[in-house]
Amino acid sequence: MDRFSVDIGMVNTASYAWREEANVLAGGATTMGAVSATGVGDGVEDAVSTFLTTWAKYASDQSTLADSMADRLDEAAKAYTVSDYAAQDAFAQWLEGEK
Amino acid sequence: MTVIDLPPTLDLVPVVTGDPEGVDDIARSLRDASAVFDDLDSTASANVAPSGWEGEAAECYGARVREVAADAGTTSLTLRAAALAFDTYADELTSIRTERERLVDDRYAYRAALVDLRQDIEATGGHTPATQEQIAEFQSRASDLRTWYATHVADVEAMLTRVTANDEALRAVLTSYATMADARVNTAGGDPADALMQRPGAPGTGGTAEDTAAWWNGLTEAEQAAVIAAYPEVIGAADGLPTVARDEANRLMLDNDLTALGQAEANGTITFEQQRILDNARAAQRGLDEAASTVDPITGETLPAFLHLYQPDAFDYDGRVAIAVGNPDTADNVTTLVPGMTTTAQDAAGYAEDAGNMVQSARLSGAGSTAAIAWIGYDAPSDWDTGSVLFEGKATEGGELLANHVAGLQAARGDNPPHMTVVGHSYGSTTMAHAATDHGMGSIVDDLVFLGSPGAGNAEHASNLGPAQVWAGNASRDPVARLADDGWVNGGTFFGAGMGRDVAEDTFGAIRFQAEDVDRNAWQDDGFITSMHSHSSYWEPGSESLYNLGLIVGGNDAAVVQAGHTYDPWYARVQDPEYDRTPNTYPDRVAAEGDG
Repeated sequence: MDRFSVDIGMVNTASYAWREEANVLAGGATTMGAVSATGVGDGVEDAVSTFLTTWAKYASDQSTLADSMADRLDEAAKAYTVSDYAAQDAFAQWLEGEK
Repeated sequence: MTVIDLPPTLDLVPVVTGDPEGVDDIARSLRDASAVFDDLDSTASANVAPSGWEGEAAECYGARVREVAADAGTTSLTLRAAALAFDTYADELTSIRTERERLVDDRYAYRAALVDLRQDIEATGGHTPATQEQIAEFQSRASDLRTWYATHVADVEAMLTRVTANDEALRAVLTSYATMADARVNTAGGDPADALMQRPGAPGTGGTAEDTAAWWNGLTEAEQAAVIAAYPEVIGAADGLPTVARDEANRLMLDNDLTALGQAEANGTITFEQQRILDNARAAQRGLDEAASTVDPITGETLPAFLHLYQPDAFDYDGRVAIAVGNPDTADNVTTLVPGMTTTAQDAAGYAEDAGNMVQSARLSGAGSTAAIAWIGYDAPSDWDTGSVLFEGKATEGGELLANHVAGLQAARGDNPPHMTVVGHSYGSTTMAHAATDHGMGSIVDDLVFLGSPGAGNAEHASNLGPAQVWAGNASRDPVARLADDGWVNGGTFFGAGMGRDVAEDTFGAIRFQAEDVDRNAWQDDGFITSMHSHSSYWEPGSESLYNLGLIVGGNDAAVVQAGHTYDPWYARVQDPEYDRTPNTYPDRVAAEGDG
């Protein structure tokens, strides 16, 4: 692709939404992790424990992923900003040299 | 020698492990988690392509987010399917445990019958030769016992088979969702809740509360569970749905807010808006706790509490919350309390206490089962917009919401309508008036009660409010009640300010009841007469007001202690015959200590 555009504010908003989602997911992981399988009968307790552990870990992983998503967006926003400043600086120096 | 073949004793009935309540807890937690992943699905879908961002980086990001959204939807459906499997498991476990109790009793009865037969045989055979008739009787009883034994053993076998089948059915469901790959296969058909929410009558499709009730009743139990998990924000606020369903949906959201935003607060990442939501969530929880502490003074049992409405970000974060003390879907008497100005979700606990007081007063006055809803459901003038209390705009808007709420309560009851009362306090009474005059609420309730009312909105006479019985409980020292229009004075002529007619006036047509405050002439520490106390003490246990409210809510109209109306003679200012009467107290209508 030979063109791009970016609204840094919107990228920051998306980052913010992911950060919030990370908190929600962490709460979900905590809720599931706290569930005890002791309510079920002995004959199925192992299967229940495995299921709960698997999906609580998945929720925790998704929380980490949401945080990572926010981190990547923050990095992207920073990179775009740095690039813009660099371009601006290059032109400023060039214009300075012309004088 | 005659031989009587006695059957053996029965073995102990095997123990059935497991606790249905514990299984219900698992199902509830999975539904909570399912709602979390629904939320992730929504967030991811909304953020696939931030506007104004294009290019290769944006496309890479978008592709990744689409994967996350898809898997979030899959996970939500997986957890919901598992929750349903646990529900089924718990139901069967309950049934099996009931069967086991029957078998335990059956074994005791068998053992007693066997011992009786042995003793009868020994008694007869030991000292006196048995007759042929006795021998025949013993053989018949022994034969019955052998049949009993065989039946019992078979029933125990059948019970154990059910235990194994129940365990295996649950194991099969859980195993089929063991990995994300398995889950993707099993949920490939998408979320069935989406299609259910498109059916005619579903909330949001433009139907009436009756349509919504009919839609709900047409769903299977599994379908109902699916829409609660997928659309808790819609189900929790849908007028016409059963209170239990709304409560389940609202508690899903409440639990998630308390957990997630509590974590954000602890992390120091919480925003101003999120803090408002968290504060409202905590207030709603306090309200629920308060409601759940109310004890029925007649039965001594704790009344159930329900979160009937939960929208913590509504009305610019003032919040919308309704809490029921007792079940409005089953109670003989149902009442809704409509609060006045400055009320927000933060006041949930105080109003839940008032609702509890109302229920207790009704029960102590001899009423049947009673439920009261503290309905903080409209945008009452508060904080920066307190000035709007001078006008009826918020009461007009709130009137529609209130009318919908009451229509929903009636629709949820179907062919079994309760005795229904709405009690509007202060600005809430004006809101109640608008619900009646503008939206016909007076036709679907039995009683409308104005408390500390600044005016009846656009009703010039009680008959304008519909066929409901209209009651007025304005205390003589209540400064808010004095704002109403009496005689020829009309606040509405002052740039539209004023809340309408005085409901306690003789020409209005309401029945005025005694509602004087015993502390109406008391002096506060700061030297002011506690006139506002008269405005805020209508639900105080033992007061005239609560005594009469209990009678009205319970449908015992004849026993209500009436008061003389205010009147406006041409030669003097407005006269109130209640002003000089000494207020009564009703200590027999105060629930015992610890009753709420």
